[in-house]
Amino acid sequence: MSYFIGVDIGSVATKVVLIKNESNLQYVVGKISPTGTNGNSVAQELIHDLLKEQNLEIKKIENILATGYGRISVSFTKFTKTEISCHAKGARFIFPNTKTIIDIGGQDSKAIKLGSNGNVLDFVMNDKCAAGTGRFLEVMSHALQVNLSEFGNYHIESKKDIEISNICTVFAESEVISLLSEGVDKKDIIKGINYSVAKRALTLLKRVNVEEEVTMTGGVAKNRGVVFALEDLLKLKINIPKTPEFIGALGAALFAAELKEERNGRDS
Amino acid sequence: MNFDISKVKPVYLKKIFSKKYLYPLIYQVLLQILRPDEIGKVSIKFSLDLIKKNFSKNSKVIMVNVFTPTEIFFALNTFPILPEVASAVSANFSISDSALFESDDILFSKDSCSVHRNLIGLIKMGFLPTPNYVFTTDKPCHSAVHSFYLISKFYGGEYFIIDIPEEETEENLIYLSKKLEDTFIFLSKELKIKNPYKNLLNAINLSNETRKYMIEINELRKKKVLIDGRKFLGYLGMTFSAFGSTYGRDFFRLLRDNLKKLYEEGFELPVKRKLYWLHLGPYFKTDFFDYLYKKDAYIVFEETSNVYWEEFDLKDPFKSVAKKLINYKIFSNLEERYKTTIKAINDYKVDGVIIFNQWGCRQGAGSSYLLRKKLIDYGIPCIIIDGDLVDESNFPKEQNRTRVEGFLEVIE
Repeated sequence: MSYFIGVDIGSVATKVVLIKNESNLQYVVGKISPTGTNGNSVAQELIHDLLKEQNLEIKKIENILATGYGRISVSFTKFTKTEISCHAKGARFIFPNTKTIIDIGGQDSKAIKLGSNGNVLDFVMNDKCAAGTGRFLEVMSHALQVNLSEFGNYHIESKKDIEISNICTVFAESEVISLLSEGVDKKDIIKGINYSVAKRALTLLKRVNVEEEVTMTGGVAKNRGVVFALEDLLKLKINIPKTPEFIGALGAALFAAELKEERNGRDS
Repeated sequence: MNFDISKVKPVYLKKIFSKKYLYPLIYQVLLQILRPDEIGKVSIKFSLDLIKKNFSKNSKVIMVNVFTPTEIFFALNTFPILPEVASAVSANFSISDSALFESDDILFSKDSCSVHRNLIGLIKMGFLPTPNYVFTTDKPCHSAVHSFYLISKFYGGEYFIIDIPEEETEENLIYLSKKLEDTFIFLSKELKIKNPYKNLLNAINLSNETRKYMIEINELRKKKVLIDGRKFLGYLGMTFSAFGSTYGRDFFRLLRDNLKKLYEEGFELPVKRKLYWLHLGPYFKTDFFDYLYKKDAYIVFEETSNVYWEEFDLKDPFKSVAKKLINYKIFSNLEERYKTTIKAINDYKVDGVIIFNQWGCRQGAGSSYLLRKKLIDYGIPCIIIDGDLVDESNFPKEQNRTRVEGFLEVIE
C-alpha cells in the first residue's frame, strides 16, 4: 500500500490530506489548523499529528506535495503546484463530471475552467482586494456578532432582500453597521452579504464561461447561504464536497501520487 | 558597490550635470562600475548625452511623450526628454516611491496612471529639468495630454498637442503631416536652426536604418530564442527615445550583430514555453520574471518590438511619419492589438500570451479582458497580470506569482 500527502498552506488555514493507493486512490483523512505566522511549521505539526493518529511512520509516505500561498517556503518537500491545478485535481476526483470550479478561500477566489480530461483550460482570480472572499465574510461576521457557521441558517430564515452595495470590505462593514443601527434584521443583512459574495463569484465564473457541472471548493463553500445565493444567480445546482476546505490539499496529494507514477514509468 | 541614487538630492545631481567637464569622468566611472558590453555602452552614452544636453545652461529643453516622433526633434539638434521613460527609469532606481508621494497633491486620484503621476512627482522634486516646450500626441495614450498640460501649467514650457486622426485617409494624412511640418518649422525658427530640412533627412535616414535593424533582429528571433524578451522591455529608452539618432541606429545594429553571432554559433535559450508579452512590464526591482525562468518559460516576443510601419519616404518625410502615427498598432485599439498578437503567436510559435495590465492605462486596461477572451477563443492560453509599471505598492506580488505559475501549469 502506498501513502501520499498533500499540503495546502493558505493565507488563513493550513490543510493536510492523506490518501492511500490500495488498488485505487482513496481519501483517508484530513487535518486543518490556522496558518498563523509560520505555515511551514504548522504543516509539519499537522503531518506529525496525522501520522500519529493513523499509526504511520513518515517513511511510509511515498511523496508529499505542497500548494497554497505557503508552498514556496516549505522545507519538507520540493514538489509544489499552484492551488489552481490542485483544486482542479481535487474537485474532479470527488465530482468527475466537473467542468467549472469556483474556489473561495480566505483571501482569494478563483474560477477554473476544465477540459473534458480534467486539465485546466483557463482560470481567473479575484482583483487586488479581499472583496468576495472568506476574509470579507469574517469581517462581516465580526461586525454582526454572528458566528460564520450560522450564516447559512440565517440566510434561509430571511424573508427580505437587502442589497449590500459596497464591494470594499471596509465600506461594506460600515454599511452593515449602518443597517443594524436602522434596525434591519440581521438575517436579512446576512442574506445580502452572502449575495454580495456570490455576485463577485459570478463575475469570475462568467469570465471563464460557466459549463456544468459546477463544483464549489474552499472554506466559503461551507456557508450554505453563499451556495444558495450562487445557485440562484447561476440558475443551476452546484456540487459541494463534504469537506470543501480540503479539496486543494486533496488535489496536492493526488499530484503527489502522480509523481510516483511518473517515476515508476521512468524506472521501468 | 552599492550606490543608492534615491538618497541623492536632485539639487546635487543638477550641480553635477551642469558641469560638462565632468562627463568624461562620469562615463569612465560608469564603465568601471557597470562593465557594460558594447550595446550597454551606447545606452550609457545616450543617457549621459541626454542629461548633458538638457541640464546645460541655456539649453532648450523639449519634453515629448513616448508616441511623439523623436526624429523631428533630433533633426533640430535637440535631445528630447521622454518623461514616461524617465518615470520607468526612476522606478528602477527606487525613486518612484517618493515621486508618487510628491505627486499626490497635484494628481490625487490613484486611478490615474502611475507613470504619469510619477513623472509629475519627478519634475516637482527636480529630477527633470524645467521644459521650454512640451509636446504630446493625443493617442494612443490618453493620460499624457493631461499630465503634460500639468507640467506646462505648473513648471513651465509651451504646450502643444499633436492631434492624431483615427483613420488613414488622404485628408487626414495631409492634416497630420501639415501639423508635423508646422511644428518643425516653428521650432526651427525658435531654435534658430540652419538647414533644418537637411538635418531632417539625416534623422529620417537614421530612423530607417534603425527600423531595418529591428526587423533583422525580429527575423533572427523567429528562428531561435536567442534573447530573453524581458531585456527588450528594458530597452524602452531606445525603443521610444532614440529613433532618428545615431544612438538608436548603433544600439540596434550592435544588438543585431550580437544576435546574429549567437545564432551562427548555434546558441539557444533552454526554453520550454514561449510567451508573447503585451504592454510594458514592471520597472521596479522585482523577482517576478524569475518565476518564468524557473519553469524555463521565456518571453520570445513583445508588443513593443513590433515593426508595423513602413520605411519613411525621404521625399515626403512628414507624410510618412503621419502615416506611422495614424496606423499605430501597439497599445492601440482592440482589433489592431488582436491582429498583431495573432501574427506574433504564429511567427514566434508562442505557447501563451501574458497581458500586463497597467493600472490607470485607460486605452490598454479597458480592453484587456476582451482581448483575452478573443485570444482564448482563438485557442491560445492567455492571462492578465494586474500590476503596475512603476508603483510597487500596486503590484500584488504573491497573487501574481500564483497567477503566472498557474498559467504556466495550464500551458505545460
